[in-house]
Amino acid sequence: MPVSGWIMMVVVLGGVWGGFAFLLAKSVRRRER
Amino acid sequence: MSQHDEQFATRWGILLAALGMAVGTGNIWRFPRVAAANGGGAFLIAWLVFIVAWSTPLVMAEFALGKHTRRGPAGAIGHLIGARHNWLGGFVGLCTCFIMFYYSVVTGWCMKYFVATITGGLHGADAQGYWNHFTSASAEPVVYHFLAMAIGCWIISRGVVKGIERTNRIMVPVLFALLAVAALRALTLPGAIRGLGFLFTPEWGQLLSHKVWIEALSQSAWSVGAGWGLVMTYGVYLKKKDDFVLTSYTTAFGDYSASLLAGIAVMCTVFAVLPEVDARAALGAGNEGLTFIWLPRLFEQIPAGRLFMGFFFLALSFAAMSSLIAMIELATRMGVDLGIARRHAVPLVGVLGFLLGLPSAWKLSVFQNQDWVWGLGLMVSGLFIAVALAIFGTDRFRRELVNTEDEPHPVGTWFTFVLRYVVPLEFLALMIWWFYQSAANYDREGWWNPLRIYSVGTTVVQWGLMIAALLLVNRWWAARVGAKER
Repeated sequence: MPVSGWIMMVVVLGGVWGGFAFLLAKSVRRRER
Repeated sequence: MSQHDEQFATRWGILLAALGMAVGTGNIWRFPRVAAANGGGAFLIAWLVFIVAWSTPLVMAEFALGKHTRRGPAGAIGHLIGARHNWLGGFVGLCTCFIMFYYSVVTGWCMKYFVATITGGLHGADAQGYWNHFTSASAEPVVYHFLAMAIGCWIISRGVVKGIERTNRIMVPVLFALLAVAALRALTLPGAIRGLGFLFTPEWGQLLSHKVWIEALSQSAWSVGAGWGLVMTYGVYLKKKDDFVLTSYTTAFGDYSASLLAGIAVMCTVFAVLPEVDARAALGAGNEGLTFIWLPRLFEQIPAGRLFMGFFFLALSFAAMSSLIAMIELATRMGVDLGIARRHAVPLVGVLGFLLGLPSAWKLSVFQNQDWVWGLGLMVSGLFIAVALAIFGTDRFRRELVNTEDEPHPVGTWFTFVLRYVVPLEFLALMIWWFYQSAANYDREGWWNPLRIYSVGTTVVQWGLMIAALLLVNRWWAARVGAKER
């Protein structure tokens, strides 16, 4: 896989999975309050 | 809302129900194919744009409509903007009901393949022959369609908390875990990196192609479930203090996350086992071809493949069932809004759903036609919701119904801009593109013919008949759901 593929993989997976994890954590924190 | 209506017990339950609704078979069998065929990483960029330019604002609008009006789609819009516009919501609700009829058949296929995997019926069989026999020479699609509808109705009959919330509390985490296991297994196959390359390497030139943008928008719209009326239905069961903006973002990102897991699992498996020419043929074989013919062949060839084939079809069954129960709840809600008691509405939906799904269970061509007509109909539903908001005042809707005092994450004016201007333009582009596809590629000779599977004619006639019927009964329906003239 070319370098551009690796970069895109990190950006997309980081953005989507990271975003989902962040939002889930925020939802859980709100639930606990 | 009648005083007997239940409400979701927890915010976590709302989120899992919304995720269960959103993550369906399209995430698993459509996303990987479409991403690979449209420039890999370039497609992913376009696809990411539509998380804010279509899906998330429509999900927010639906939650707000359901929570504010305490009615399903065929009542909520009439309540918001007046009785004479109630048919707009009727179209949204009925379109999703027509999808439910054949989606139950699809759920049955997934359950059948899971059962065939664990009982060994699929092992060593010719996958093409097995699929052909199953769909055209046996009564099993009807039996499994009945089972899917019966299980779905049983879950819905248990109510919002014990049925929808409890089922999704189990199915959604298990679904994500199974997808993660399938992705990890696929990543450890020799040659898996070729699959990653196809999925993620950007062909930048493709970003100039309108096809890539239209395909990305279609995938986002079909996958997240925005504009279907399903979120609107779940919105009815929110407590007054429940906020939904954060839940809407989380639903959209969760749906996208599941698509990426499925994309990695499918692409890495396909490219690890097959040479590139065959891998492209597998990805070009359509949703059913890839899932029910090519993937069983591939799983047979990898170590512990049968175990992972079981995981895969269980994940697919859970994804389908958690979406099907949302559709059954929507249909039930429409009955309740019309004044039918819930305990009668659920079996009525079950019987109607089974009977009206029979043609799709019997003949693949009917299934394909219905998928084409009502899949595109969802774009109309999205437009109708945006139109309803425009009549009410899109920014007024944002200020009064989304950014309420119970909402700790107010949404900005981008919401108004997207729903007021961007969604109608996107709808126009989608219609031009898919009708052009029908006339130029799918059925050049018979694109006008209402009796052809993928024609423009069949779409316009079926939508037209539904809208005509809704206009005929609009006054009666609006009165039944308590919508008033404005």
